[in-house]
Amino acid sequence: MLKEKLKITRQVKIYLISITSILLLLDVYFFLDKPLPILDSPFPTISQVVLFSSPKYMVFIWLFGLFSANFFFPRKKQEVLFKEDHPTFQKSLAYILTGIFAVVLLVSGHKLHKEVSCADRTLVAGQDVPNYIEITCRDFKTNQRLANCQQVYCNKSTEDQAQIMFKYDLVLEYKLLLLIIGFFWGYYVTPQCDEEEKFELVEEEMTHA
Amino acid sequence: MESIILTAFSISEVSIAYKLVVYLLILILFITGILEIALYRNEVPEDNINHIINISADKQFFIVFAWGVIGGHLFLGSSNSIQLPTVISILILTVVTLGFVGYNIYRNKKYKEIGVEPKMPQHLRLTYLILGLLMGHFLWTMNGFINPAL
Repeated sequence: MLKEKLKITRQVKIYLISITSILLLLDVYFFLDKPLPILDSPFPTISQVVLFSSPKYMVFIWLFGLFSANFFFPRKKQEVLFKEDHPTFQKSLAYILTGIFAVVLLVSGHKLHKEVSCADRTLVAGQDVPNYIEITCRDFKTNQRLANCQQVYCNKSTEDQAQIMFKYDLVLEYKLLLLIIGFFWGYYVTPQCDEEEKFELVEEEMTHA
Repeated sequence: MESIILTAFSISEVSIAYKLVVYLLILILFITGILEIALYRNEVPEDNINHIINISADKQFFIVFAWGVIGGHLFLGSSNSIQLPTVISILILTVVTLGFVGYNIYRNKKYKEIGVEPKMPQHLRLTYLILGLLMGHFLWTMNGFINPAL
C-alpha cells in the first residue's frame, strides 16, 4: 500500500508541475503577442481571460479563497462549523451547501453582468451604478486600463487597430470580500481530507483499545 | 480637437483565439476534477490533490507565497500601484520567489541534519499567503491606469 501511495503521489506531483509549467509557458507566449498564422487575432493571456470573466464568473474568486484554505490550512475536527454525529452526513451536507452557494454566486454573477459600450454614456459616467460596481475601460490588446472612460470618443464608422473594452465589474473591495468569504468557507465548511480523517482514525483506535 | 477613433469591444464578439484559451482552461479544470474524484474513490488513503499540496507546502513553502501572488494578480490589483512595466514586475517577483526557494533548500537541509521532517506552522503559511497576495496586488496589477490619448 505504501509503495502504491508513493507512486500515486509522485504521479500527481508530476501532473501538477506539468500543468503549472504548461500554463506558465503558454502565458508567456501569449504575452509576447505572437499570433498563429491561421488566426487573425493574437491569443489573450490567461490573466486577461480570468480578469474578463468577472463579474459573470465571480464564483472563481470565491473558489480561489476556498482552495487556499483547503490546500494550505487543514483544520482540526472540533473546529468544523456543522457538527454532526455522523461524519458521512456532515461531509455530504458540506458538499451540498458548497454546491448551492457556488450556484448562487454563478447565477448572481450572470444577473449582475451588463454589456457596456461607448454609447452608454450615463453608465460610463458612473450614474445609476450600484456602489459595489464600477465601469472600467481598457485597451484589449495591451490590457491597460484607461484613467478616464469619459474621454474616450466613439466613432463606429471607422475601423481602427485599437479596441477599447468597457466593462461592468465588481469593485476591488467586494472581490476581496468574496476571497475572504471563500477562505473561511473552505476552512470551516468544506470537508478536508487531512486532519479530519486522521482525527477520526485516532478516535476509532482509542475506542477499540 | 483630436480624438481617438476606436471600436467598442463587446464581450460577446470574442475571437476564436479567446475561446480557445477559455476552452483550454476548462479542459484543464475538468481533467483535474476527474483526477481528484478518482483519487478520492481509490483505496489508497491520503493521496488526494489537496493532501499532496498540503504536505508539499511543509517542505516547499514558496508554493504558498506563489499561490498568494497569483491570487493577488488575477483577482485583485491596485489602481494606485507602483507603475512598473510588467516585465520588471515579473522579474522582481521571480527574484523574490527564487529567494524563497533558496531559503527553502537551506531550511530543508537544516531539518535533514537534525533528522526531523520539515513542518511549516499555519501562522507562517498565512503570513506567506498574505505577503504573496500583497505583492501580486501592488506589484503585478492589471489595474494600473494610463491616460487615453487625446
